[in-house]
Amino acid sequence: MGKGYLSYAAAAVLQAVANGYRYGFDVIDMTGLPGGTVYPALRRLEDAGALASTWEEQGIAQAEQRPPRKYYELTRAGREALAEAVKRYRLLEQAPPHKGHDPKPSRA
Amino acid sequence: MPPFPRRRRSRARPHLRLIALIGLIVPRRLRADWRREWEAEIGHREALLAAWDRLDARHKLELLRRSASAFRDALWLQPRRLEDEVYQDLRYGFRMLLKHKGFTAVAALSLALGVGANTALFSVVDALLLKMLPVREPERLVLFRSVAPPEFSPGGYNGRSSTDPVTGQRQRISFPHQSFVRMREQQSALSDLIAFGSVGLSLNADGQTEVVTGQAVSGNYYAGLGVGAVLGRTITDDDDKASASPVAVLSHRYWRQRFGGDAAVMGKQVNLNNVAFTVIGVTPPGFEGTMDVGSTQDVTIPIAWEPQLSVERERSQMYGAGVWWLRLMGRLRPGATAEQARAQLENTFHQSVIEHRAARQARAQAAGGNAIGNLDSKYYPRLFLDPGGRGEMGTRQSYAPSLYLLLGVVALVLLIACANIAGLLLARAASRQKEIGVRLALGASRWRLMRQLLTESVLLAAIGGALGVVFALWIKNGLLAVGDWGGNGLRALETRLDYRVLGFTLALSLLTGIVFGLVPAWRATNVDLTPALKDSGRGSSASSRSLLSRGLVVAQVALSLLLLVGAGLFVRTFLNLQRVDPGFNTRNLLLFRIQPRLLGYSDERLAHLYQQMAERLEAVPGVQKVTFSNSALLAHSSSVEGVYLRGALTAAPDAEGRIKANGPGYINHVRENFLEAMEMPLIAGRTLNPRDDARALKVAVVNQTFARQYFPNENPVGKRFTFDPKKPDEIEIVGLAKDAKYTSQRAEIPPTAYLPWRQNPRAMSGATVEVRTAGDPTAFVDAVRQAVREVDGNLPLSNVRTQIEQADQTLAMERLLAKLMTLFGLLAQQLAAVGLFGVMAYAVAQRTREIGVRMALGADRRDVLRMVLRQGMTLTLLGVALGLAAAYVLTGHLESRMGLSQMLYGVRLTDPLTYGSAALLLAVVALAACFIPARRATHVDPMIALRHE
Repeated sequence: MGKGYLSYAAAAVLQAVANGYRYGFDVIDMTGLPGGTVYPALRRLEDAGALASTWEEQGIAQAEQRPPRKYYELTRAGREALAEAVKRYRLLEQAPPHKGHDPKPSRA
Repeated sequence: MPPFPRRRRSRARPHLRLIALIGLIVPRRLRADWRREWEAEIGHREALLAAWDRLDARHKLELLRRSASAFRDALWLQPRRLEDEVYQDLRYGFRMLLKHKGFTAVAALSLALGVGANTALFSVVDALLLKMLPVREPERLVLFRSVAPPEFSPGGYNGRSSTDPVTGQRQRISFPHQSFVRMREQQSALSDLIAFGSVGLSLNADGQTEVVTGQAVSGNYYAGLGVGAVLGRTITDDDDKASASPVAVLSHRYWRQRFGGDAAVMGKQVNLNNVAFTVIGVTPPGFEGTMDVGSTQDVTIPIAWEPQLSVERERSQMYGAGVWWLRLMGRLRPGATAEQARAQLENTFHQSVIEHRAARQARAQAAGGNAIGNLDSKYYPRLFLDPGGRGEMGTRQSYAPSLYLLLGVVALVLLIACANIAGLLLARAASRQKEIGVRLALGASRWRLMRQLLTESVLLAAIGGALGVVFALWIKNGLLAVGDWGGNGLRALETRLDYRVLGFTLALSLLTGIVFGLVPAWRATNVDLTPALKDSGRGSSASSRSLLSRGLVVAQVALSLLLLVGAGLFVRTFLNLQRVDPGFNTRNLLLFRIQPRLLGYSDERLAHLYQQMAERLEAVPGVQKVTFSNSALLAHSSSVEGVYLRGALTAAPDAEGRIKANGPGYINHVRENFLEAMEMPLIAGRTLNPRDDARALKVAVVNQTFARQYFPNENPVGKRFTFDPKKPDEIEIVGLAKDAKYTSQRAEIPPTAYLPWRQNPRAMSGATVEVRTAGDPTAFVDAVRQAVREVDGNLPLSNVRTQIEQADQTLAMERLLAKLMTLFGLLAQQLAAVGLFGVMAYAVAQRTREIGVRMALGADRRDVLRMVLRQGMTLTLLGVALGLAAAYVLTGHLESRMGLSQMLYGVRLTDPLTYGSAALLLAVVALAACFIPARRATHVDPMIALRHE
């Protein structure tokens, strides 16, 4: 990871992905940030090497009869960066629990 | 990825379409993935909402909102665009161009000059020949003209006319008022019929009098054209009545020039020919009337007031039956054609001419003068309609050949520039063979490489094009400054750079870049890898490539020779014309024009005025002689009358009841001392003197041509002739003068008769005064003005110039052509020289090894020099030979198409001296261009050369 601090938005995005919200729109729902902030953050993080992106498995997508989505995962460098960011942004410590179930319909 | 089944929706999915739309701005490389990602997310969300049964309007709107946020993402990706291949190519291209500054500079400049010259000249030609009048729907306008057999005579006629030399048919552009009235009354395919005619005006306002260009128009002139007033109002039908108050409209240009653009001119009273008129309006800038381009009508009045402009009623163009003086223009209804209108109006026109003629007959009978006989209807004129959107084309048409010739010239220059660039690109591509070979070997696709080379040449063309815009502006301003494009007194020619033309030439330069970048790019990538990768530096297609570039050079040399020959012909024409002996002394002669009739002078007062003015001028210190004449010399102005000898008067009259004249006589009413003042030698008899006045018998002094034509092989002094068949032998010839040019240097000397001004005061309504000064005439202008002011403070002087300036003005077009063709010819030659230099430099570089070998084997530097020069001069001589042949063929072709030899003077189309000098000049310049690379060749060190790859 490069020098310089992670912005709050980027840190929130990173944490969301760490918490299992791997898909772009899930991150949007989770963090409450708008798509215009989340996606550039995802890309920046990916450029910086904090995230790695993969396309969903063909089989899964085909079974559910929808196009495959792209999902993001934390790299080791990303985990380190997140640990550092959490120390700085106390708010992040109060993150919601891990994703375990399908997201419910919401206004976000 | 294999396609998978999509759930079909019967309704539109704007959220997905929005993604597709936004995707357009995502850099191409990333586009597919980006779309997939977003579409997947949105699609998934949509599916979830459907599963939860929440797919109502509000949630669909929310989907749309989410799609919209893709826009920020797309924006964020923009910087990635720079990694696109196209941008890479551009950056690389720029670096390459900067690295080879010389090449870039030469190529860009060549193209810029070619493009700039074309744009500039085309803009000028467009303004002169092609531009439409700034009126409403100029395409719907038509101009009237008539064609009649020679038997028909209109009576009085003011305006241009021309006679077909083969059929004798006479074409006229003016019509009588009668015809206008009748045709206007008739319903036809024309929605408007307007009339306009020239009138001579002197305008007096605020104590200052000056002569202005005036026109009289019908009431519907402005309405028919669709021209409004920028200040006040224009003339309407209500103003075109003798009972209406006299009003005048000013042109914008005149308003600015004379009244300083002051709005207080509205309602101002001005005196036109001593009659009070009220200024009611000013027309918009850019509208210069409907007459020839460059001639602006300063003041416009209604036709109904034209008769008031002359003190003597008979001088009005509307007097009696009226003369033919009005131009007619019509506006076609939507969907109508000129032919329809013509067919509808033909009969009415015919009728109107019959009526006009009848009116003339009645008046002639009443006045007891010549009877006007009846004329069979087959001799009557026929009506023709021409497109009128450009206004009157008369004088402009005489320039058309010259201008089109110039256009051809700059097109050739552009061609040479393009050939230059092609050659340069070829040479450059060849020199990069190794680099290309390496890239191909490393896996670059041929298409990719070609695209990159193409990008470079397009970039070069773009730079050249941009520079070309700047050059176009400069050259255009230069063109307007260097020549009097008005030529024969047309002024006020404004051109702005035509954006159409600019777009055209920019497109042309880009096309050049693509086309001439394509061939070298193709050939460059057509490389056999192994030899290219080896350090031999010689590609397999070297010979064919160098054949192409050598062919280009030969073509360049040939084309520039063509242009040089053209330049030579026109320069000689101009010099010949300048050196023409006019037959009188043109030096130290000041000319100016006065038109006292416009101020209301009657015949006696006129005589007194001229006499007084001449005496007053003679009193000015430094003035040697003062004379005046009806027509100025070398000014394209003349008066012609029919000459009748005794024998002709006994012949039978023709269909008109008229007697055929023996031939034309060019007359000039002059002061008694004219011949001495102008220094025209007298050969026999005497010159005119003051005793030759109105009470004395009529006399004339004729020139040698007159004598040769009408009194061959005898002494004309004492012989008689007449201009009026009713007064046979009226004029006695008292003197014979040496031939002198009359209308122009170019024209043949016509049979001329100098008549004493006192014997025909009617002819002296206006005159040109010639003042012979001791020393530079321009120094006397103020004194001369002062002297005239003392005689009549109100009498304006117009067109003050020296005789030499007048003579130069008559040659304006020839001078312009000579200058421009020389300029472009030299430009072309320089371009060709540069092209030759480039090819030779490259050839030397290619043959370095060979030169090294030769030197090692014993050749000395002189041999090497000779070898290289021989190569270069072979190309040159080939080009010269080709160019000479092309010149020969082309001039022949142009001669049959547009009578090219008419434009020349004193030099044949195939003049060997011109051809030879052009070839020599080109050869010398080419030799110089070859010399530098040749010298460089002699400095080749064999040791290095043999190692050189």
